[in-house]
Amino acid sequence: MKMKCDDHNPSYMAPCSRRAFIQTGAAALPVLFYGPTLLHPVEDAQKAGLISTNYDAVKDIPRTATSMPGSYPGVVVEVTDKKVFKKDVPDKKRVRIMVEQGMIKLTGKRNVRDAWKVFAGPEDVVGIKINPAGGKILSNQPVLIREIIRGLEKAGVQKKNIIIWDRFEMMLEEAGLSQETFPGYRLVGIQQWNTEGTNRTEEGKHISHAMFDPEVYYEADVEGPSNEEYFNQHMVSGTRSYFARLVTRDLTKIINVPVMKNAGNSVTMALKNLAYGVINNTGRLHKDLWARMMGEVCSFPCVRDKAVLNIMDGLAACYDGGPMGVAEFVYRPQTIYFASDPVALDAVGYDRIIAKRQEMKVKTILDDRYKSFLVSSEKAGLGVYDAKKRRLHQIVCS
Amino acid sequence: MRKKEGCIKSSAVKLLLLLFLLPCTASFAGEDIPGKLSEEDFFPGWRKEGKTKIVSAEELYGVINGGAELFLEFGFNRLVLQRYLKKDHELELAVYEMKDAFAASGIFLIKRGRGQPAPGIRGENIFSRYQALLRQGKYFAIITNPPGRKALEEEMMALANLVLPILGTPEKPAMLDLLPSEGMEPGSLRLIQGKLALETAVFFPDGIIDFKACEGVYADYPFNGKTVAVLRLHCSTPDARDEQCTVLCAEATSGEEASSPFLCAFTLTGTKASYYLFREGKVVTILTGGIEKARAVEFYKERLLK
Repeated sequence: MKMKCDDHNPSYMAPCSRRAFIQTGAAALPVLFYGPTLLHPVEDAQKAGLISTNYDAVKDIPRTATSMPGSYPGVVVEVTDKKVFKKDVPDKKRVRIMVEQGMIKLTGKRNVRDAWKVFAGPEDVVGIKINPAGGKILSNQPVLIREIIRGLEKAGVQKKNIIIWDRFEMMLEEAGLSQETFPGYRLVGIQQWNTEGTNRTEEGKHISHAMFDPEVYYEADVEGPSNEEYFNQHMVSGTRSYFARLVTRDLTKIINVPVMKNAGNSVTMALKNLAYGVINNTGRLHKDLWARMMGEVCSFPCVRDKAVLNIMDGLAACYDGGPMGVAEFVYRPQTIYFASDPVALDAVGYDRIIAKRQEMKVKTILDDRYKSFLVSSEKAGLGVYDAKKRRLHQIVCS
Repeated sequence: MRKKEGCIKSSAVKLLLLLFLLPCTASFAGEDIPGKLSEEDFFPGWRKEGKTKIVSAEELYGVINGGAELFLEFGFNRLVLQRYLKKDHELELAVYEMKDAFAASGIFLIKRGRGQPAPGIRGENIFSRYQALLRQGKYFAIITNPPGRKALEEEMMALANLVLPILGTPEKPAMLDLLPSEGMEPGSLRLIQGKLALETAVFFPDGIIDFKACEGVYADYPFNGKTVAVLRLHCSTPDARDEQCTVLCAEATSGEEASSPFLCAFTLTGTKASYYLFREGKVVTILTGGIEKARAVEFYKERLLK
């Protein structure tokens, strides 16, 4: 198949004004709010800052050669093919070319095999962290997962050491991932959740108890409910969220494959897919700590040192209604993003989603609070948020 | 071709018969949704795939992740999930039981965007070939046709018309009557119970509006070349209303006028915008949108004053 991909590689455009404003389809409203000065300053940031966590215990653990932001800090490659969809399904051959172009551009290697070998090799056990939370309307495109697997196998990763995983087993099934669709590969949901019957063993522990590592946990002084419903889904109540054994003990590398989605006026992409996917007892962490915990959880060495590559699925995306898949707001950027730096990737994704929201005349509040997770993750040393230090390479395939 | 046409006609007749059967389902309204959905022949021609799942508030994160926050803010009871299969076709039904009609409407207004209803669905809805969003009483429901098969549109509508009566009777939240529909910017209407819903409409600093004591309705109105943003709050007690007014007028730039609903004008630090506060009975109204006080008062008198 003849396909041409032009490497645009422009200088990255810094995001638009940091002044907070709301734009509507009619005349733009004046600036309503900027910065922390308020009539009654009870901010998320202030509230979150009052909650103590065990981040200090991990933040100074020495980094390794593969620690975030990885081999290409601040670099994001954006590959677009406006013809990738054929009858509502991405074309396999076109996706392959997109992935190859993206990997070669990111790594600067001469061929695809060498590009993938930067991130994994024959000795590795690689987990592909997917994002099926959007259901069948907006989860990872299976064709992209297959291309990632193909790339890993080119790099010498053995089939038995490639694991497609997510937090909830049932979500894998609902997103159409099964042994039928991925024969011979391990599909792991680190957590089971029986919606009927008990989720307890005879000893009273959660049925997925053994999937989590009792020695590695994120401690945060905020608790969820201690009722049976919360236990069913979150496994424990209390102040600790335990990391999955898959992450702490089994995997040597993680390929993070988020889906490009908004979350209100913010986004849920690479950092969220990792942070909320590797631990349990997360219900308590959404409200006040969501921005801060992403950087803190990803700072644990089992994530920081293993999540070597992020490939964001922007073949289909949502600009509103996220992270649920609401069809009204799903659109097709027909784009795949590549980065070793999850902060830079999320920063680019944020700009893209905001631009789309403005294009579609969705009320959009531009305020630092919606990017605070980027700032705190950069501060944690996980990547580059500062637009002046980022580089975006754009490739357009036709 | 003739055989196919015959099949299509036959299917259309079946659908028509199905729609006429709807009144018979009214007796299953409300609480028995899981029971009704569990019946094998609930949706003729389709078989159930798996058991009906019921998801509690604490478990909602596991289904829709961070999207649960908005539902919880409004007040959420449970989610009922059922999947249907016909050969290799699939429809998914999700029924969100909210605290009340206000909550269900609040969710619906946010999720509907600028979508359009299907005339064939007998109830409040937004429809596309991928999803039908429904709202009836305290229920918000989504029917999903994952690959967006156009051939399933009629069956999506049939399922919607079967589901709606079992969700109870239509109920319009009283708060919606606080804003005139005439002149309203399409897609701007919101019901607001907390900051997440508020942030889909207009930005206010945290803690300024007490959503424990007040609930809100919001919309935009083009007016004399500007867009007036209107937020109306209904507070549960006079004390709550007065406290809300005190907070908002704490740094007023101008004050109350006798015999007028106008209470004060105020700004938020760091912006050039002015806000205008009106009080009338239990309702507190905030107008903004780059307008001067005279225009705000004019708008209020012309469009909102009872």
